Amino acid sequence: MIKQIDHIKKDKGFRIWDLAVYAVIIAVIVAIFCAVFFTRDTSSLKGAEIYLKNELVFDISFDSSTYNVYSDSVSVEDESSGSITLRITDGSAYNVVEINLSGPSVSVTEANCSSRDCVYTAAITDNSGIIYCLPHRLKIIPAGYEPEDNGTIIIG
Amino acid sequence: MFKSKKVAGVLCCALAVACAGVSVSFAGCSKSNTHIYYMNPEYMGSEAYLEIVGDPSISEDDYDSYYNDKLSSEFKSLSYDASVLLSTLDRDLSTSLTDTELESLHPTEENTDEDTSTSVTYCVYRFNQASAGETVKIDEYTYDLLGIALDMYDATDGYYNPAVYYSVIAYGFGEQEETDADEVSAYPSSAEELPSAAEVAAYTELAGHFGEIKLSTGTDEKGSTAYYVTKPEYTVSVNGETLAMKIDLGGIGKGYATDKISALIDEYNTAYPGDFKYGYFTFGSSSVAVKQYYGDEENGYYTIGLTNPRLSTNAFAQFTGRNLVLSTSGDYEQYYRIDGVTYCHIINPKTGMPINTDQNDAISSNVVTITIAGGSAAEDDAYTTALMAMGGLQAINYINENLADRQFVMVINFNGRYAVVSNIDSLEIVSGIEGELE
Repeated sequence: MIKQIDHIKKDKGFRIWDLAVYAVIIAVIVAIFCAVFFTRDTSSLKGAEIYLKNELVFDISFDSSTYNVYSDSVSVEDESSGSITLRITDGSAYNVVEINLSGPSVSVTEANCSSRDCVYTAAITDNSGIIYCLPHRLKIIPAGYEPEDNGTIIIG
Repeated sequence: MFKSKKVAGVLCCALAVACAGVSVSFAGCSKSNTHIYYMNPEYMGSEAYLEIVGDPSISEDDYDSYYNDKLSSEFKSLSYDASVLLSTLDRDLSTSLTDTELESLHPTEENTDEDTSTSVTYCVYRFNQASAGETVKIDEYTYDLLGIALDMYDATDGYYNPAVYYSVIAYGFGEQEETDADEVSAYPSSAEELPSAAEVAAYTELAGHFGEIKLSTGTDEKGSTAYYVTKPEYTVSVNGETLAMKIDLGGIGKGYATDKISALIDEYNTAYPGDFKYGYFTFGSSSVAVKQYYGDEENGYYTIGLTNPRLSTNAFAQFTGRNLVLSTSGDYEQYYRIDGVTYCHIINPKTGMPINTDQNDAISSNVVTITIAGGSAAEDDAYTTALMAMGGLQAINYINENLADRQFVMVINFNGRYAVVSNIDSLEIVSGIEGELE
């Protein structure tokens, strides 16, 4: 027992191999972070599409500065020189979407859904962003957004 | 920290290799030579998803013109045809209409019906509103689907029966008639709100006459083939009200739509060889038409994951497949619990009650989910519903005797223990199943 305690007392907190292991662990974490962060599609936003209950109700092209309204559920509340404000309604539910033409960017600025996650979601500024309002079944995606196909289909 | 330099050294090397592997794998994920075209509409109260990938062997030089011009144009045409088909079926199979839809159904002075497409839409709704013994004009899709339903009713000895309509409504499922078509009434919250035994018995008796439905054809005033269905004469009296038969074809409607979309994709692949070979169509996640997966260059197999019936965020099993259709049913899709009893949306036509509520616990062998592949998705839809109603042991016997040409995966609850029964060689169990529906 005394020998064991004596051995522990003499043991150093860190040795060179310990530092090497810690360095490799940190390197792995950094590598994963970089791989995820830097491989997202950060190409500039060409346009955006808004879906309500999976139907396309509005789209906009930032290249041509033109937009299309496909449903009465979308009303253009304000159209100033640099932005467009939309109100999307479905019964008593509504979401207010602000489109900044100069950014360009698209964000939800107001909604009467229960959680308001869509309001707190960061604005879409490149082709990696998506905004969902699940309670209102609203989806805003970059124009030309592609789903991924990893070869797995889940059924049931 | 590490007692042995050797251990530390080995661990260090292993982590270094892992680090290198992560970096290389992500560096290797360059853009593949493919582009996914998809549509994601909603019909029959469920999401549909159609995805086409195109020809992955297209060279970089031809990529832009192929995907942005040729395939883009072809897919627009396919998605338009698919949308027309799905919206037609959506109207045909609706059992409850909105005010707007009702207005379009009834001709007014301003809307004198010259267009036969209006007079033969909302077919199931018009059938349900008709009197006993009345003949209703329907369209070819509904005629075709009713023919399948009658065949499956016979083939399953009545365990598939779309005429359990009144039981479905009485237990709080389906499109409730008195509300907006998009809304589903709240489920019963107490035993007092459940239908009485007498009501259920009457509904069951009425449903048992589904085989008396008569299909016929004729020629309309324009010389085209006209399709008709005649309701059975049989009625029952429930709480002083006389009820004629009503049906709900939703049980095979998604499978039927899946078959039609699958055939449409094949037509386009014939017209534009190789352009529609890769991809899939899924309807409500319960009926799927699988083509080929572009990422598996050797076999084109998709991995098909089956939702864990007691933990819907996970798959419990998976298998590989290509160029097939399949359907699945489960007791976890819609359900509620009252006094410890779980009531799911699948009605046993023999009892008129939700399945898995009426079996003696000592010998219970409840089917909690089943997936069938092969044949047609509409038939698979009917079979999965019927087999769940039969119960585990009878279902196994039925499959052995009648479905040797199909692949299946079935989960059975044997007195609280779950067993997976399957004839699929590539089936891989990926997680356990335990617990009850919460």
